[in-house]
Amino acid sequence: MRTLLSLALLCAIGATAAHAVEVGEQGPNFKFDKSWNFDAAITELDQLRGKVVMVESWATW
Amino acid sequence: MAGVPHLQELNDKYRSKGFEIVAVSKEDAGTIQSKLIDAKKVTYGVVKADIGSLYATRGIPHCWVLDADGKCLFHGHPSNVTAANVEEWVKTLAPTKVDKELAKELSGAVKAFDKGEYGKALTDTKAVAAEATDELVKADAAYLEGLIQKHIDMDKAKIEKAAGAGDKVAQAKALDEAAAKFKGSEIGDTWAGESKELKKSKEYKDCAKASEELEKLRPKIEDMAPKSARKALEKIADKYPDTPAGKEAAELAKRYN
Repeated sequence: MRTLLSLALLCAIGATAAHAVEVGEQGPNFKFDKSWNFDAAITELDQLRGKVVMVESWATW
Repeated sequence: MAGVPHLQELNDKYRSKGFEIVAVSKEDAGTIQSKLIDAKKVTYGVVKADIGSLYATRGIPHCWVLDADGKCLFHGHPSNVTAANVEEWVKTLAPTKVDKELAKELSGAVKAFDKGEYGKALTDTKAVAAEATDELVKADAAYLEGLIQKHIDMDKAKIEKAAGAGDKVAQAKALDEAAAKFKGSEIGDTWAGESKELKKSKEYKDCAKASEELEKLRPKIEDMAPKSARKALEKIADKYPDTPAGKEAAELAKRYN
């Protein structure tokens, strides 16, 4: 139970620490740990500049 | 997992026109491989990364659409991104692939264009156009030059935007990027030269120093006494009054009265 609680607390802290990217703001760059359906040379978001990019966060659950 | 067919459809229609999906999950690679790549046969871009601290996910799925400069155009549920939206967004882009068959004389230029080597493409196209006697070849060369011109216009606009804002650092960066794209052409050399000159100027050095000093100060401001915070900010503002960082420092200083 205690682990669950601290986990929940950690999640809450994580959620408030993150800055929500709003319309008009710059989308921060990030590195890809692994990628599928991209040229192997593309390893971070900034390399897709010049295109319209849809960053979608998803999960299997 | 809902919405996979929707994303797949957008990818099929618009990837060749400059629309890239980056579906991000922090789950392990094996799970992504089996549950999405293998099971759903998706062909859009998928990556493993943890972006929670960068993009503040408010519920999954959630998406952010970024323009060619990385600026956010939209965010929300992916199902709210329609084909019509994407159609509008990609219209603003300069094409990155030649979208029709051109005369074989231009094959070298087309290849360079498709690789993003616009300087080489431009120089080759001009050479072909100068030598061509066939009207069709001339027309194709003019068409390709038109596509390249869109990139020139886009890069020029970026450089001018930075110049207009008085941000010499951003201007030099825009010039460097444009010069790299147009390496091997006259305009590429011109931009490289302008960047070199700009970096020598006092204005550029002031912009770079002001921004450096402000960024160094920024994380400490909150822990400083208001009076010292104001003094430190005013110092930057007085030293570099005509720079974006100097102006920002002047604005910030007003908060610590």
